[in-house]
Amino acid sequence: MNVVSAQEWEAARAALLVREKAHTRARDALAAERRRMPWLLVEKDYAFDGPSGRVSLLELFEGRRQLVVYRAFFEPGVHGWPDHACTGCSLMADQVADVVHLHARDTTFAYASRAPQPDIARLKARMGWTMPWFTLTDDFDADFGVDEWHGTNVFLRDGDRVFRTYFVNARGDEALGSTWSYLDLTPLGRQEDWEDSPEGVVQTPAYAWWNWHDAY
Amino acid sequence: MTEPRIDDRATWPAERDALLVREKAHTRAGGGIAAARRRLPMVEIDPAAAVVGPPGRGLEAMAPRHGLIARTDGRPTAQWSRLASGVGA
Repeated sequence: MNVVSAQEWEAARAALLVREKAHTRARDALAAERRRMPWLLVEKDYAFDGPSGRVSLLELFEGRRQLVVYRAFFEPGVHGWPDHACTGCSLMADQVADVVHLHARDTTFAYASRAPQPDIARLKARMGWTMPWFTLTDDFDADFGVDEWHGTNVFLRDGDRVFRTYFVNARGDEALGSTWSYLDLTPLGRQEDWEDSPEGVVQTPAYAWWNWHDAY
Repeated sequence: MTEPRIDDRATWPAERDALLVREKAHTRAGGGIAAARRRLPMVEIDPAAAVVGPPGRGLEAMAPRHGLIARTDGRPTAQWSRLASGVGA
């Protein structure tokens, strides 16, 4: 153990802080690059089962502009079934911020798994998870790189047209959970006026859009 | 917003993979910073420092774990305003 005086510790911490701040700026720059990624038109119709029946990919947006879908493994044959979802996917679910903050930025968040809706409803109630969670019914998982492994897909809606704009998995998923982490994956970003975004993205001052989760 | 580039299925993965290389480098850089953080020196503090709240009083609240993460929330003061105005700088 290298125990030092408070003064020496502050100096060591300040030196590392310089690297940490540079790392944060580099992260912002990557998010800016993602906002300039090309879009991929989704040409197939996809269907999901939800608490109120069958819905399309377009309907998953709930009228909002952006959609983030995390593919969680909860189905027969996956460790933990039927009492639990996959351990890693469950740990991820424990990190997900209240989705109302994403809604405030015109962004919808959802989980998707192969398990039927009654199993998903039971799992959510027991584990205390509240995010929308849909059942996959078709090739969505194979087509969007999440048939073998968890992953997060980002979509943008332009009228009735849907575009895939980004995808992360592996340790890319590990960094997710906060409202900001999800918005940083999206083509519109946090929509705050300090961001380097494509021309035409409507932005508001940083922090000004935040509210209490029961007050939006 | 201005009309973005719309790719086809053949080219989009290549664009995404190019950015992924940079994202992975950033993740590794974050791992490097965490490694440096684990090697920071330590400063000894008074274990009797008063911290009130469940499950007890003082830093013994952290027992029997080896580490403690404490977050201090401040009031939105003039300092907060300066921080907000410096965002993204």
